[in-house]
Amino acid sequence: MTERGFLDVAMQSAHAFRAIMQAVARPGRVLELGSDLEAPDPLLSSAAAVALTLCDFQTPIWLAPELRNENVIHYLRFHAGAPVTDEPGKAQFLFAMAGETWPAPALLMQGTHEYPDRSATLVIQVAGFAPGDVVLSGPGILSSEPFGVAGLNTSFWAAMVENHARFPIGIDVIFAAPGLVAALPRATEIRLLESV
Amino acid sequence: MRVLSLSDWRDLESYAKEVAGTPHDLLRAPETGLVMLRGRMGATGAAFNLGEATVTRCAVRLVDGTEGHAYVMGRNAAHARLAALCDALLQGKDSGTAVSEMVIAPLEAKLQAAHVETSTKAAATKVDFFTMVRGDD
Repeated sequence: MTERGFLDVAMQSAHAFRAIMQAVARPGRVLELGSDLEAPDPLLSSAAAVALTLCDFQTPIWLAPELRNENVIHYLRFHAGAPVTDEPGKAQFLFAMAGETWPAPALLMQGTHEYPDRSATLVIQVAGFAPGDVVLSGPGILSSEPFGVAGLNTSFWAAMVENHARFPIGIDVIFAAPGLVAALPRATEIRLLESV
Repeated sequence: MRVLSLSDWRDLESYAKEVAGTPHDLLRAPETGLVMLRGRMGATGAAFNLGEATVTRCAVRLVDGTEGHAYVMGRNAAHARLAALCDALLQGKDSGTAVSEMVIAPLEAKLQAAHVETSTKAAATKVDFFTMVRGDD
């Protein structure tokens, strides 16, 4: 069975785009992403909203094994028209779940110094946000922003610190929790807190 | 599907009155766009872009999960929606027979009649060209 996408595509994808854009502009800030759509299990409706808003036939999608099933693939093909690829290194958007495995950020499309925009965006489904893992600073943050994600370990944050070191190339990360969205662009500086 | 898309909207609406009330979800709300029509000279040459056509498409889902899809020329969203609904119902065993008899059969007859009428009119104006064979000098 195919799940329903946005009912009013123009308005709802514009609202979702606004939320995602604000999240990327203010790294670490958690914003509401209310979306009136059905998503195939185990895709969260907020992650589905990100996919239907940002992906189209020009953006190959890679799905983590936990998310990869026929329903999800059909859903993304039907509503976004996006091809689903097996090779993480060729995907522009990658969808994964927190706590599960995904390819190391260094193996994904990083962009080039001439075209830093030719890079991958990693969308991670998370249960929720809990400030305390890291402190973020950099563009879009006045002084510093405490941030934390349920179910992500130290090795993820270490990989993100490395990712920031490669700036201006590197990947961007969007976190999708039920009804919420936050982002961690490559430009953001990350300081790990001792407690992690 | 051909019958549903080609038929006049007023005909479809009147024959499919009872169908229109079937509860369904919009999988993809009716949306209008352009498709590029491609052609080949004499049906064999290299493909070229003939021009763009306005098309409205719609996808619906019945309560039992059956999906129906429709593409209709023009901008009539209601036409695309009703055609998609008929498409979904046609896949059911009982509803399929009912829709075939109630909607498809009369629409097909109308299309056929219209086709015959235009062909007859056209045939009446047919001119046979022939050339007298000229004798060689």
